[in-house]
Amino acid sequence: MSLITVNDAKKIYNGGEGEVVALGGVTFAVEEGEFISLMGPSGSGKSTLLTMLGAMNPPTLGQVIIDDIDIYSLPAEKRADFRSEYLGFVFQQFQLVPYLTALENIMLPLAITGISNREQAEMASRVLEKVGLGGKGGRLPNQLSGGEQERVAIARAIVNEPPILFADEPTGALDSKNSEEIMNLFKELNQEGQTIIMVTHNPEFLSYVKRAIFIRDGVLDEKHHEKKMAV
Amino acid sequence: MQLKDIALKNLQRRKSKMLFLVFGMVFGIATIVSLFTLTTAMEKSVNKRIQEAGLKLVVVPKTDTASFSVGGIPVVSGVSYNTKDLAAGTVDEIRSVQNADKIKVVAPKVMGTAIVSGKRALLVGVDFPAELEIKSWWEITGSKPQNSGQAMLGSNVAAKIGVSVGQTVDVNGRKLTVAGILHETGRDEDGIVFVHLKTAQEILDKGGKYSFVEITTVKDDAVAASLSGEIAQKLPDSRIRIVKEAAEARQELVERFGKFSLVVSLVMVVVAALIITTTMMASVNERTREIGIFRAIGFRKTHITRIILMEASIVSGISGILGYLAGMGLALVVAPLFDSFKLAVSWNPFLGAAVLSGAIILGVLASLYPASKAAKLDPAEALRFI
Repeated sequence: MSLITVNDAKKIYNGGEGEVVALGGVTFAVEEGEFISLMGPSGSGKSTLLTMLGAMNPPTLGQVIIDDIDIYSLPAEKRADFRSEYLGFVFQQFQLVPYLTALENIMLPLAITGISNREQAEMASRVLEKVGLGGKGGRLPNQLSGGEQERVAIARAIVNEPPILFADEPTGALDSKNSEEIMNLFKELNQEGQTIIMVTHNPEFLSYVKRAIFIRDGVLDEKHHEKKMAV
Repeated sequence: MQLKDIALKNLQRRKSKMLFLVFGMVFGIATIVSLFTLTTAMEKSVNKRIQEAGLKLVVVPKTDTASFSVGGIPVVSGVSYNTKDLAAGTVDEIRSVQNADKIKVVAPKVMGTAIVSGKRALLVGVDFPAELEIKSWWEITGSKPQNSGQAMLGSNVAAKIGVSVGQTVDVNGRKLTVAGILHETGRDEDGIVFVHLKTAQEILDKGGKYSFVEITTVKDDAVAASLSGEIAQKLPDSRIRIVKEAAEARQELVERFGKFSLVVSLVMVVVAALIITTTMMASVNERTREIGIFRAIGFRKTHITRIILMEASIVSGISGILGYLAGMGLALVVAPLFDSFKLAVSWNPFLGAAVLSGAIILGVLASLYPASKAAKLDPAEALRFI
C-alpha cells in the first residue's frame, strides 16, 4: 500500500471566463520514504496539486488517499486535525510569523496539541539543533539570514514528526550556496526516512531527489519526466 | 506555545493599534461609569433627603379672599382681606392630635415686614432647632442664633444692608447681633431676616401668634392625609396643605438625568462595538496570510476563532479595568460640581465586576464577525497571497 495515492484527481475552477481546468486528471502514487520533486512551468497546476495533497483543496473529481484515508471524505475540521498529525509544510518565502522568535515559530504546530510549553520548548530546541541553528532560538525572523529562516521553516514543518513533508519552492528566495545547504538538509531528512514532496523550478535539484513528477497544463508530462531524469 | 500566547504576542506586536482601541473603549466605558455613578449618587442623595424630610404639611390661617369680575372678565381675583394669624395655642393643638407620634418636626413661624437698619425687609421668627432640621440644605457662615438677641440673615438682605457676621442690625429699633448669614439658596430665604420666634412676635407685635406652621411627617401619604384631617378638625380657622418637598422635584430632575445617561451610554456602547469590530476586522485582513499558515499547519476553525476572541477579551478586559478607574476618577472630580446634591461617590466593586464582564462580553460579541471571517478563511486561498 502506497503512502499517498492520487486517483484521477481533477480540479476545475468556475471563474468569470467560464471553467478553468487546473488539474485535468492526475494519477500517481508516493511510497513511504520517497523524496519527490514536483516540477513544471508556472501555471502548470503544481500549486493546485500541492494544496490538494496538503488536504486543503478538495478535487472536483477523483480521490487523494493518504495512509489509507480518503482525506476529502473527512469533514473540514477533521481534515485540519489530519494536517496537524500527518503533514508538515515548508511554504514559499519561509512564512515565519514575524512576532514570534525562531523557537516560538517552531513551537507553533504544537500550540494545538495540548503539549506543555516546557515540553514544546524541548522538542523545538532538539529540531533547531538538527537544522543547525542551536543557540539562535531566541531571535526574531528579521534577525536571521534567509538561509537561517528557511531552516527555521523546515524545523517548524518537522517538529511534530509528520509522516509527509511538503516544501513549496524552498530555495526560491536563497542564493546558490544556501540553496545547496538546504537541499542537503532535505536529503539528510529523507535519508532518516522522511517522505518529502517538493515543488521546484530548479532542474539542478534533480540530483537530490529520488523521483521527479513533471506536470504541464494540469496533466502529468511523462515524456518530459523520462528526459529530465535521464539528464 | 499555547493559543493565548499567540494572542498575547500578536497584541504586543500591534501595540499602537491596540492602544487606540483601548483608548476608544476606555473613553466610552469611563463616560458610562461616571454617568452611572453620578446618577446613582444623585438618586441616593435625593432619596435620602426625601426620606429625611418626610412629607410636609403647612398650616395657614383661613383667609377670606374675594374675586370681582365685570361682564365675566375677571378684574380682581384672589385678593386677601381680613388677614388673620394662627392663634397662640396652635402648636400645642397640633402636638395633641391622635397621630402626634407620626409628626417629626413642628416648625412654627411668624412673619411680617420690618425696617432692618434702614431698609425694608421680611422678618421671620422661627424656632431655630426645628427650622434647621427641616431646612437641612441650609449652609450658614457663622452660627445659628443661640438667643433672642441674635439674628440670621439671608445672603441678599445681608448684602443689601452691608453687614457681616458679628455686626449689629437694627430691627424696628431693636439691636440684634448677626450670628450667621445663610449661603445663597436661590430661594425666598435669601431676602429674609430670621430671628427667634419670640423676638419676632415682640417686634411685630403678634404676641404668641403664628403666621403659619410647617410640619414634617413620616413619608407616608396616608399618614399625612389623616394628620391633615385631624389638624383641620382641631384648628377650624386654619387650612392645611400637603406640600411636595423640593427634593421630590429634584427626583424628577434626577430621573431625567438618568434617562439622558442611558441614551449616552447606549450610544457609547454602539460606538465602542463599531470601533472593536472595525479594528479586529482590519487585524484579520492584515493577517490573512498568517491565518492561512495556521490553518495549513492544522489549526481548526475554532482555534482561529479562539485566538481572535482571546485578543478581543484581553483588550476589552484591560479597557474595562482602566475605563472603570477613569470613570470613577471622573465621577469623583465632577461630583463636587453638583454641590447642592452633596453627592457621595462610592466605589462599588459590583459595578467594577459588571463593567469588566460587560466590556469583555461587548468585545467578544463585536469580534464575532471578524473571528468568524478569519476562521472561514480557506487555507488554500490564503496561501495564494504567498
